[in-house]
Amino acid sequence: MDNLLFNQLHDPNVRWVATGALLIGMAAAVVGCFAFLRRQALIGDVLAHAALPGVTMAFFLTHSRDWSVLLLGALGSTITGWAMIEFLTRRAGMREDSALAFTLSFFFALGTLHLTWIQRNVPAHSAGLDSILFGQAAAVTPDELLRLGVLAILVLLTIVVLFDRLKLVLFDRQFALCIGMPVRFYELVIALLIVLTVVIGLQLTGVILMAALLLTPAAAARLLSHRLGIIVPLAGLFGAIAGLIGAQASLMAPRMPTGPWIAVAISLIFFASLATSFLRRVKRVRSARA
Amino acid sequence: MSDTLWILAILLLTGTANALIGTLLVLRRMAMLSDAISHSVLFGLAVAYLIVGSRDPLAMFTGATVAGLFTAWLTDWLNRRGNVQHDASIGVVFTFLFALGVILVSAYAHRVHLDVEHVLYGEVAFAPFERLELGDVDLGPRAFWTLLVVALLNVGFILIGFHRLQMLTFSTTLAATAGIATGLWHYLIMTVTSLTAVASFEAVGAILVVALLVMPTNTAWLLAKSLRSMLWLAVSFAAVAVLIGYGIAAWLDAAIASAIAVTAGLLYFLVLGGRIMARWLIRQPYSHRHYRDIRDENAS
Repeated sequence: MDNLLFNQLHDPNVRWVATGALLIGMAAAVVGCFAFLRRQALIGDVLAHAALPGVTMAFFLTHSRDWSVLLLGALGSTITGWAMIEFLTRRAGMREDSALAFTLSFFFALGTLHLTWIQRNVPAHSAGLDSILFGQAAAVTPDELLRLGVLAILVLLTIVVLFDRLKLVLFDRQFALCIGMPVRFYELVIALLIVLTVVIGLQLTGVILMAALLLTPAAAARLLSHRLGIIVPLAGLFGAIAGLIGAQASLMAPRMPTGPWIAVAISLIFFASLATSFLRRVKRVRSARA
Repeated sequence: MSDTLWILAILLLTGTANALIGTLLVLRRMAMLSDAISHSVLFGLAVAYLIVGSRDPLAMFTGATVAGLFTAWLTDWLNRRGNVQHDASIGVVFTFLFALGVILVSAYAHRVHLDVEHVLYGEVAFAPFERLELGDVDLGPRAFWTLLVVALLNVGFILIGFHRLQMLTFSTTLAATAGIATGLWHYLIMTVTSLTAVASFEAVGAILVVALLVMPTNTAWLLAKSLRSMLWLAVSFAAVAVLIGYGIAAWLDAAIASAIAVTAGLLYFLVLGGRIMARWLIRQPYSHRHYRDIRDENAS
């Protein structure tokens, strides 16, 4: 069992990858809770798909594979995608689910259109660009992963500092408005946090399975508790486990995409907590009868 | 018939089938469920391949349809019995099944000629090479015949069930009070969606399926006044998007499916812009400002 993550922690490279993956997983899960409770659980899926055209455009313009450049592109197009959802639902009168599916397929099609065009018409170094689709933790240098980890810490800190305010805006918007809180500002903060975590999480899971990292830990934690103060740390824990599993997967099989392993692991956690909540409900019904 | 014509015929049939069933999905607020189904189809294909051991079209078709139905059922079950909110249950189910599908495909990739990118954005350009032969007679591409059957199935389903579906899309409660078996019709819609997704997915990939299900329908919604006109408009917009998108793809030398999806999206914004402009032109003399001026004059 030499290739277990635990046995290789003496290698500083492995340690960095593990720490980065853990932080990213945790940040994504924590931010995912807010998206989940705003009933926008699938927005992570949409925004992650929306990152694709930005990545291909950044690659096309700079011809660089440096992740920080590609991430800037991803950030730009993800914000555009978010604005498009807002526009479609608020101004164009489209229903929420249609607007999500519309934005997702529009941006993803734009990205794949550009990607196939690059691959056929700009022959040099476009190979491997499609690792963005499924994520490859091993393709990132430890240095870059560290930078992403720092971003993840920033996201986590913002949430810790603003926790009470975000909670109020989330659960009682009317009351928050009445006591004069800048509600729109905090809603924008939540949206920006979601966008930022989606972009940094792309490293781990890729475009298609980002939804799993953002949403499944929150859904699992929500089954176990009704208190936000418990749901959020619990989801963070699940996310961290998922991140570690991703790092482990990329260590064992460097050529395999990491996204699917993370998604499967986190789904198993979800089903475990589903079973727990069923058992608890059965117990409660029985004790009520007795 | 040349290859270009076959490809266009396949794409037009795909557009028709998806626009029809997409209208029902969008009206019932299930647009994201189509995204989920089109992803978990991969899992069905992989499992069917592992069981049968070959790319037998019938087995693949069955596997993928069952996977689609399973997604719809599991989502519903998590939502009702597991107390998971609706959108979250969609996300949990499809990421799980899709991830399993990707793992199965990449673990057996040396044996399956089914690569993940092909599944995601398909390549209709290769569809004419897989022929359907009956005895010695070459009947044309297989994808054409599958899609023809599925498109006819869609048309038949809507023709037969029109009044029930109309009531169901309007209000599930009303439909239930009127004695319609809402559960049965829900799963009928899901079955037709899965069949359509699987058939179009082989030819054009998962993303175009979602795009064609959602985009022409919403474009039609901007103009339609009834379910009937919405269905006609959705099919027409899908056809326009297919024709223009195919031209763009040929011109740019890029993926046909992506070009069509982008065109369908731009078409929506074009119609939206046109509608806003038309309203602005029509209402100009009677605008709020006009009334306000009259009111202010009377007041003073």
